[in-house]
Amino acid sequence: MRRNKIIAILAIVLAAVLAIMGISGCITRAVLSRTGPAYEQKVDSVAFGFSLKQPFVPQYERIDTIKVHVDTSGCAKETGELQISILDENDKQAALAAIPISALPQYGWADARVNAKLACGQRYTLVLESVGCVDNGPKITFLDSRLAASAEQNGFNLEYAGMDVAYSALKAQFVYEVPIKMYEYSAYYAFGMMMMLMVF
Amino acid sequence: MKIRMDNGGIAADNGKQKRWLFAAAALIVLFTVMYISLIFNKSIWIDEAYTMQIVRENDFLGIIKTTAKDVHPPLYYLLAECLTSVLGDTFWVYKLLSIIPMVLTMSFAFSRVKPWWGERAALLFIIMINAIPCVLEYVVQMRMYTWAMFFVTWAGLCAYGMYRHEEDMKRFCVQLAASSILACYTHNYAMISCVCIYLIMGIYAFLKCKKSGKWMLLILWLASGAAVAVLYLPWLFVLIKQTSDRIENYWIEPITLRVIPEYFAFLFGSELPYSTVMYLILCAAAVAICIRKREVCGLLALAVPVMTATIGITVSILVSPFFVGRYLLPCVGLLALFIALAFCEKPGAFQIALATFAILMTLVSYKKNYMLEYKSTHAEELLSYMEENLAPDDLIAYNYEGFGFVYEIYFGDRVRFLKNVDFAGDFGSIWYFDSCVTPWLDGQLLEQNNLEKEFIMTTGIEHNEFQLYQIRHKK
Repeated sequence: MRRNKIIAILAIVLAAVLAIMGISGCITRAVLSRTGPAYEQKVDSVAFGFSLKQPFVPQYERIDTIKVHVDTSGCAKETGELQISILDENDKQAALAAIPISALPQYGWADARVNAKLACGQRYTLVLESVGCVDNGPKITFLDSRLAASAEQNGFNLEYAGMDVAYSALKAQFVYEVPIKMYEYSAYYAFGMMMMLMVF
Repeated sequence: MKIRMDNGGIAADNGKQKRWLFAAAALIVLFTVMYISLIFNKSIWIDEAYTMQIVRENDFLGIIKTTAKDVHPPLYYLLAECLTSVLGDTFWVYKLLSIIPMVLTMSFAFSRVKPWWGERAALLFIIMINAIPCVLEYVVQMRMYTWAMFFVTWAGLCAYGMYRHEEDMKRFCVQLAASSILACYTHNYAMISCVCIYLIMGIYAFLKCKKSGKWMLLILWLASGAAVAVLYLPWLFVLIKQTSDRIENYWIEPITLRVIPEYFAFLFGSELPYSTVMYLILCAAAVAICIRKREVCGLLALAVPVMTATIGITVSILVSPFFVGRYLLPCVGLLALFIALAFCEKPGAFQIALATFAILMTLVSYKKNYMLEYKSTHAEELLSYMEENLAPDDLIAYNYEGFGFVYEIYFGDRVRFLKNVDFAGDFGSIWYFDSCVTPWLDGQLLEQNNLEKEFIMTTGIEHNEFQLYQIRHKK
């Protein structure tokens, strides 16, 4: 009888905890949005103040990682870093990630963990800049936006050193952390109940 | 009075039997319908396209010769050849072929699990085998994994039957040999799993015979093993050649500490975050329970995937990388049996919670696989567009060489690699699949041949997005 009471109380507590977790969106899954297939073009350098800007509209609130495509085959890797920042509509910095040039792949994706909470549907600007490099630093890949722009980049062009680059979109992947649906917590509840029944 | 009570008892038993039978049959039917709902699409990846290609282009002997040059044994492709010759060479027939062994594996609940371990174990076996997240995807893939799983599960159950049921020892001995040889000719890692079953069986047979002084079990085990060895011998030489050709020359990445957790993620990972962790806790609890209640059979069922993985990893480290997570699929039936045996004597409330968890996990996997089969690629959109617009004298050109044979599955012999297209030749239009890789389409070549290209859309097939262009003669 006492065992049943304990289990009943724990079952209610578990349900309450999971409900709170569900409402606050504690458990998330990764959702990826990326540019499509198109021939690659390169920005030769984002060093010496020649920054590359990509306006974008986030599709979800929490952005975990932004992956940009780089080519470091022709640059010195000993010093410097690639800074990736997100500016809001008022040019206020919403997030910043820096990857040492030495940690970038020779040709491939550079993962910038920005872990930022953005306003879904509002315009932001992704800014890429190499800092502290002894040469031009890594090349950054972009694509024809008419063919390959992701949902975030639709309707925007790249801006390089203050100049608009027509029909261009950064080759990029946007990795969001999206809360799972409320009904999916039922699996955790069943698992929790099972564990409780096993223990007691 | 006593007689009346007995009759009442028998009647109650019959009622219980009928309820169990209905529940088990209903579960199998529901899971089967679920799988069938996933096969009416044309979304395939490279390995599935390879299956279709090998079956379409070869007769039975040709299949054996072609697979000898590849890495897998031929049985699955021979079965595909049989089924497609009866039901026709369409996508759903190939996918249906993978569902059949899943139904057969679930049916072991009636013929083996219930008689030996009881009704609850049998129901849990049916539920758990479908709830292991990696299973659902492969039940509707045009590959050999579900057949391998069926044969390995059958072999494991026969080994137990041979050990436990002396009266049927010979029957199980024959079945063990049959299931093992079929497993060996289905997948190389199914063969390794069967070797593990024979090893475990041999140790137990020896101990039992030594204790009882009757050596029949060990003799039958030896005879069964020898029969399998002799029947597998012709393919063993092929396997040695296949393996030696691929040392340091295969697509599988080297085994590192980063790779090993991925095996668990493959088996138990799903769309639901932390599902791998939950299944690992479940397995750990099952191990603890099996040890506590001395459920040796459950632990031995678990030993088969553990030994298979250990052998795969050891070979990969010592010789060359030859092991990935999906090679554990043949053992998944025994993994489900292990979980079922561990928890079959737990109270009803616990089992309801376990079954609820397992069914919810199955639904999570179903949702993911429904999206994968029907919504994740542009294949249906591309195929319906091409069906509307492709004229009889049109060609299809592509520049991603590795996908050529996949395009051929969809569009037959009108498919040409870009380098081999005769732009001066006689054709209506060329539909160009530009995956934005080299070789590139030379604009001058189009000019010289009075051709123009028009962008149609961004589209693609599984694992391959491309730009679709129509190249036609200028007016």
